Amino acid sequence: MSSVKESARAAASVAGKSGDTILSVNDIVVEFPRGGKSGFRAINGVSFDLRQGETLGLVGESGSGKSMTALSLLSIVPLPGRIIQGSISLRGERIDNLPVNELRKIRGKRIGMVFQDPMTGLNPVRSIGGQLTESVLRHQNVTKAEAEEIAFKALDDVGIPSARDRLKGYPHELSGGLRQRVMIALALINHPDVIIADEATTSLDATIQAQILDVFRVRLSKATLIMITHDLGVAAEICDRIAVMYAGRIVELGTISEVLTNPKHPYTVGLLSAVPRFDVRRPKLVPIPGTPPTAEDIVRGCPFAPRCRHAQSKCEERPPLEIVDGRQVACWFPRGSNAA
Amino acid sequence: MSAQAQTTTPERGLRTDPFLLEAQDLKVTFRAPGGRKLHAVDTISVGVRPGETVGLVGESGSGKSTVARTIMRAYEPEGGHIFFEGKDIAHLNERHLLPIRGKLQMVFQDPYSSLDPRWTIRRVLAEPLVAHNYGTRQKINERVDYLLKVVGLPADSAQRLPSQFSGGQRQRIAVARALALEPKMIIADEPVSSLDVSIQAQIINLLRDLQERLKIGLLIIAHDLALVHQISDRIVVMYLGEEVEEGPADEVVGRPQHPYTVALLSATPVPEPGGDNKRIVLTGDPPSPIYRPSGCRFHPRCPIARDRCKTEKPPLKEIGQARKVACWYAGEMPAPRDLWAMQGKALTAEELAGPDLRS
Repeated sequence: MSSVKESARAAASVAGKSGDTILSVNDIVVEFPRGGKSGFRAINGVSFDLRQGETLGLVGESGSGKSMTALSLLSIVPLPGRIIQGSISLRGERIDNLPVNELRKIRGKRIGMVFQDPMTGLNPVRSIGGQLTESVLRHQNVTKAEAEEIAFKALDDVGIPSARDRLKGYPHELSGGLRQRVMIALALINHPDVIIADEATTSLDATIQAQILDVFRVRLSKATLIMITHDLGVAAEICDRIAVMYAGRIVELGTISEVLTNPKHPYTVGLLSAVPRFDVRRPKLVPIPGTPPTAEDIVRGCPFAPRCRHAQSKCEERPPLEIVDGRQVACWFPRGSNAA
Repeated sequence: MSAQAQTTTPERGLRTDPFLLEAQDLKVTFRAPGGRKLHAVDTISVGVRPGETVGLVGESGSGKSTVARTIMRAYEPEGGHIFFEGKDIAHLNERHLLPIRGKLQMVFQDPYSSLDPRWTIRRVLAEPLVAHNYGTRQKINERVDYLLKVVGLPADSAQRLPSQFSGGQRQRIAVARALALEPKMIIADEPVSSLDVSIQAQIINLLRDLQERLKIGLLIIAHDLALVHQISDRIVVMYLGEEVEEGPADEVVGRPQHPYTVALLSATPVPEPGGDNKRIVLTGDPPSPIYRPSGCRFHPRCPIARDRCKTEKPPLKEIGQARKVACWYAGEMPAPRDLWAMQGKALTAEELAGPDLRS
């Protein structure tokens, strides 16, 4: 773990005594109606706290609910889905039940978002400077000239060369890596309390991904960040803690080293052994048998049970997220437990 | 344990028998706006032996997919040869290609766009059989049922439509289709990059199983070096349409010689806490294949580039058995991870089987 991060956290814990937790997500459920049957729960009881200066990874495969969690934080769950249960608090204030005009003061101001695809996240027909200054002028009380200066500084901060000239440019003139830097600048520009990065490096090539991860690691070391990714390797590089999600639930949540070096949930164990690595070459890769439940399936009990080789009758009941060895695990029979 | 013996024998990637498929000095250019040429692939040579897996790695724009598609004759090569079972197919016309197409098959990246959404799976799998006069309707139906079984799909899949399958299942269908005519060679272009990790491993294992059993040559094109290392006998690394390094998989990963290979290895995130220690971050983006840098194509991003690299293009030189590199200062950049030490080590039973979920 980087020392920059450690010291940032130490500073944060000194500065804010009770204000240590910035964002608190409490048992949220996002449901999509499906004709006749009970609704499909894209998120089914997710809770976590985000602390000042930390990077929390939300890791999971497609359909696990990690992106939906991010969308629900900004109250932009696509219709007909909606949050039917739970609460979300930003610095102690509820933000899940706000009217639209109040939400606008949060989006882009107190919560910044970096999307996966910078081409859809940016407006193709507006200059980069125009998009950055628009956000500044909306949320900060500054003149246009000041806003432009802020925009320039934001681009410079994320390592865009000749940032001054880039302000006049358009997104299509930039490479994928530079566009993603612009997205990050846009998310940062109003000094938000929390930045959410949704698969921010997924569409990039390995060497460019390394550059963007560097931006997160070095230039955003003090930011409070939620990093959504399917790649455990990416999470390992920049996260302090990770929450592993499966079928709309958090199945394991702990520090990066706890979860990666000593996983407790069978899904985390399976995921880690399915990732091809350089150091151990097995004759065969180790897949997790079966497939995750889809929106059509009705899940009772532990959603991973049908793919789990240790599933027992007890697993027909939903396991709660409980503390095991210092991290939270939702499994009746976590790895290393005595129960057989 | 025989499987282990097979993958750890020193011969891995060092076979010398004739190639089943060999692209020789393949060159593909496209016309770019303003009358300029886009050099997608510039004198690439790659060969695959029966039952061998060769991984072709590179970033987007490196020309790896163009190599695949040119071998499949979707693009006309501007230069070079494509030998398949000893015969040059680079300029064969469609009529003469037809019998070869059955033996040389392809699996595409996106199982959503590579299957016609309105065709039942039976029709998808029967199409190549019909086109190649496989036999009576009954014989074709039997073959379809057999193919579904081979790739691990339920028998009633035949009546269903692609939309009723998940991404992983669709990719199984694509593999079944590629197998329909008992090919000798399969080219798989990013066959698992659209799939989740837990499913990825299923498809890769399926491809490997079939390949070993049927002695099919496999050319895997992928950007994920860790994945390619796991499954390939040999690896070819491409940059901007050219080959920069080649060798047995363990050699390329354990003792990379080209600075680009080193950077690529170091850029691959590993799921270990603090895995970023010796990260080499390349500056800039890969250049355009229309306006290629002079000398070594990699020199503007290379951490060890010198004056010579700006003007003189390093040739692809043989530096050992089945080992090639195109760099004036090959081997100067140390490997990012100490992998070589791992190679001699026998895997423990637990490592072989994968971790027990609860021990």
